Amino acid sequence: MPSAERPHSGLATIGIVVSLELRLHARDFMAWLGALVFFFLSLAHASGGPISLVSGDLASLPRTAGPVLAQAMAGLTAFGQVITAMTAATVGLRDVSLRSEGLVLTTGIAWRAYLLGRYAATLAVLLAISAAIPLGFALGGAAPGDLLAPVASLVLPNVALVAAAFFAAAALSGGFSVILLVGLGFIGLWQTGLSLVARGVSIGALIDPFGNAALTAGHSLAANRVLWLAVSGALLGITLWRWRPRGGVLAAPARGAVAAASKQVTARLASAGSPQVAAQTTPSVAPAKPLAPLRGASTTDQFKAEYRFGLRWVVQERGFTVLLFLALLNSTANGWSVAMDSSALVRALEFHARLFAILIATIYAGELVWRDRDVRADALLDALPVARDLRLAGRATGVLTGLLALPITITIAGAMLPLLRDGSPNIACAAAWLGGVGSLLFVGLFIISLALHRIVKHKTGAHLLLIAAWVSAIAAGVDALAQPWQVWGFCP
Amino acid sequence: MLTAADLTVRYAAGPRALDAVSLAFRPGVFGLLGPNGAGKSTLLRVLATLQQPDSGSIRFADDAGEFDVLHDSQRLRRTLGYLPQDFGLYPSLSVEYVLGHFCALKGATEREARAAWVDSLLSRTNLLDKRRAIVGSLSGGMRQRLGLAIALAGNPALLLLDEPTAGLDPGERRRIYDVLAQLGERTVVLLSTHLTEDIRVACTRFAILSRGCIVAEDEPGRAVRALRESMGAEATLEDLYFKHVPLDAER
Repeated sequence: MPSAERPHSGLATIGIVVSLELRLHARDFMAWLGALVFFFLSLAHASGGPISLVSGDLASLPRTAGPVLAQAMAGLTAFGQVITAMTAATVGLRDVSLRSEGLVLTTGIAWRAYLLGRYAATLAVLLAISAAIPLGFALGGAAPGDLLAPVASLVLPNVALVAAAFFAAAALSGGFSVILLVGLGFIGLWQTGLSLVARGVSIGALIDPFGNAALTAGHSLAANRVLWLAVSGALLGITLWRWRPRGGVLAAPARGAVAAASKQVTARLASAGSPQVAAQTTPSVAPAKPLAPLRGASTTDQFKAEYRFGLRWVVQERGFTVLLFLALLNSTANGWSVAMDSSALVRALEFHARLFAILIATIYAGELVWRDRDVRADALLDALPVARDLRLAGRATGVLTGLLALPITITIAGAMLPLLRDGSPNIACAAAWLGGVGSLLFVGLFIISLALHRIVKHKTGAHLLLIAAWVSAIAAGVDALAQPWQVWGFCP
Repeated sequence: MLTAADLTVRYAAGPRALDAVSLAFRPGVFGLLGPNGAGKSTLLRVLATLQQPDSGSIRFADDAGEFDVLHDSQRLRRTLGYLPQDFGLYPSLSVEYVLGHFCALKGATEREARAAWVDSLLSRTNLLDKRRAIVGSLSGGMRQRLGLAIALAGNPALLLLDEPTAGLDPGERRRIYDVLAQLGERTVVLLSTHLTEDIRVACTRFAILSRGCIVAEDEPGRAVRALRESMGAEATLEDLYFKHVPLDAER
């Protein structure tokens, strides 16, 4: 007769979870694609033209010089957390999405060890993917010795922070959208930190979670690193303190609940067969109100219904409101310090809102294509007399209408800032230039994202490709549509 | 009336999911009984026009006459209510809004008509007190009843319910039976299940599907009476089930 197995120790549990996730990701094309994106961005940066990923007056230095490498690595890990968000979510939410949390947690393992294992796995997978960054720089011509300091002071702490934050968001919320929100919040802080440092406000060096702003002369990188490592530790601690298994798994019954239930059963058994009990337990269904049968809506009505649905989705989502606020804050913080003509001001505003526009367009387009399948409502919808493309078109138009709040808000900021600051606004210029470029580019981004999701037919893959493409486009300085709109708006 | 003739579905690996299945469904509740993997869900998906069969035909007769379902799927969908076995809904939206959205897509485009439909459906499925609750907060049974309400929207002439009682407690099952009992006499209802109780309580006719083939078809009462004549007075539908479905029939 086999002897009973002893339960695993905490360390063994952590090891099992980490080993499983590393194995799963080694076979996952998306993890390799993420690493490839990092590798090529690093390689291109080390061996390419002028610096454009991050701000800072470094153009006169060689691309493989220590300060340039440090800025680039901090910038890459900042962008990179968007690329790795899906991977972090997969690790953090695996048992939630597979609905296997109950199975895992009833095996006798200590749930805190399991939780630490999930964090360690998130960290291990992100570190494995991020290893492509120094590799790309090394192959691009950077001396391995010059890479050690930025890897130790920027890449490793940044990955630890991102892993802790995404893991905490995944564990405590159980939803991917919260992870994205945390990621975008970090980007907002990053941009705000850089902007404040550019204006000579020292606190900006601490606010930037990725250390870019602290790399500027006169600021302490060590203080920044200590602060954000402490934040990582705090996030981990809060998660371990607050997390409880979902759906009552392992939860002890409330005091007195068993006794109360037992009393109810006893009472029922005692009065079994009594007509009163039968009357109480027989469920009643209200008689149906006679209504004429429906035999399908017109194409226009179906489009309208889906439009309303898409619009409501965006308008009701608190996350979008938060993002809108962050984008506005970031743009105006940057735009305020630009004491130039209207054209330069609106250009600055648009530039600093661009990353938000890219991320929002990409994420919402992906959610639009995959949401019905993700929530398993696709079969219910497919059986309706509504063409799938019409459904998508109506919903996409509704979502896009809601999302246009982003360029419109930035446009209003662009028109109002000169008025508040100089008392001489160029509203027509701001509206034409920013409204045109901002909205048109935003709609373009959204449609391209939507089309790619339909073509690639893989949510993570499409997200990765799109984010990598947009980041590369920003790095390459693609700004083709700006000029015609600037001329049209008579901007100086 | 819905008629399926010689429906065959083959998957790339493994045996046929449906093997020349022929059935005729008249108004009333028709139960499709079978073990897991027998082909029940595949048959319902094919009838719901969500999956094309490799061969065979499906015809449906509505008020305007009979038509070929496989060549005019949109016409069937205008009068179809379908409840998949495994489905989800938008967890952050309210019950009322989700149901109203489906009603709008089915033709209740005016606000008042939509509200009347939502009221009626929530009332029929005993969910009136949950109209403002968000979908994510519903229990399994309530979620299943909401799915049923969606399937019932528009008074479909054909209702396909894939294991609507699976995993529900006896009270919730009874509520589903009550809703089915209230359906009009002109509605064709096809209900797949692996519970003989569903057949006994809710169905006017049933068939047993095993390994993609129809192995028995009858009325529940008549089938039990016939069985009792051969097996004794204690025989039940379950005995009939095991007579036709071997214990290792699950695929």
